[in-house]
Amino acid sequence: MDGLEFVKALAGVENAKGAPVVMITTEGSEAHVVQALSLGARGYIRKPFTPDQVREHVIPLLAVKA
Amino acid sequence: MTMPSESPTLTASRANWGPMLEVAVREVFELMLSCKLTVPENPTNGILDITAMVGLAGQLCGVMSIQCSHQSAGLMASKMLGVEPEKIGPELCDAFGEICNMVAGNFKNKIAGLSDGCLLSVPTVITGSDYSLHPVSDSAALEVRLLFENKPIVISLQVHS
Repeated sequence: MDGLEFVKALAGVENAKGAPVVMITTEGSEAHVVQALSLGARGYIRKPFTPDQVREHVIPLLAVKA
Repeated sequence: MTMPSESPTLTASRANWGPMLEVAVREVFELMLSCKLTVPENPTNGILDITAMVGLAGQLCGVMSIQCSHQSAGLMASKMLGVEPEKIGPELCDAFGEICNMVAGNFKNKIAGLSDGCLLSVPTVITGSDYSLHPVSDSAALEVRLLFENKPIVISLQVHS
């Protein structure tokens, strides 16, 4: 199962619905990003990444959750 | 089965692949391991008894590999996971393979037009040094030799056009 399949499967799990997912991947293609976001991912970080990039994506999602 | 042929743009940019590969490696080590790689002053011989490999398929077909000592791979895993080196166990291969995966991904994302047209395989890690790799390839390997914590690492890209 790859990351895209996981995001798709997670959307079907009742208890996990609405859980924000940020994908961290080496795949850098635009098509891959579009596919990830269309499947429900809320963010997309390409490896290698910096801690700031993670904060930038995760903090807004935590704020929404709160 | 026919493979997608390499685009003229890729062929034209090949002269820059060596420096781009080195930059791709350095970025991964600096961002993910907080570690600067250095250039050996002299040709260095050292133990290279662990190899991580990632296959590339699509517009660019080939194999990216990283070789170093088992001790260096353990230190890389330690730095990446934030765990003491002596506590690194089976995750060594996962981490080392992941580093190779990131190098391959970072390299292909630097080549214009390639990120959409090249897929990476899941990494494979081989331990031991008593083996020979015989890629079915029609070009010489691109090789970068650097030092990680003063120990040699060899990064190579074998391209099958």
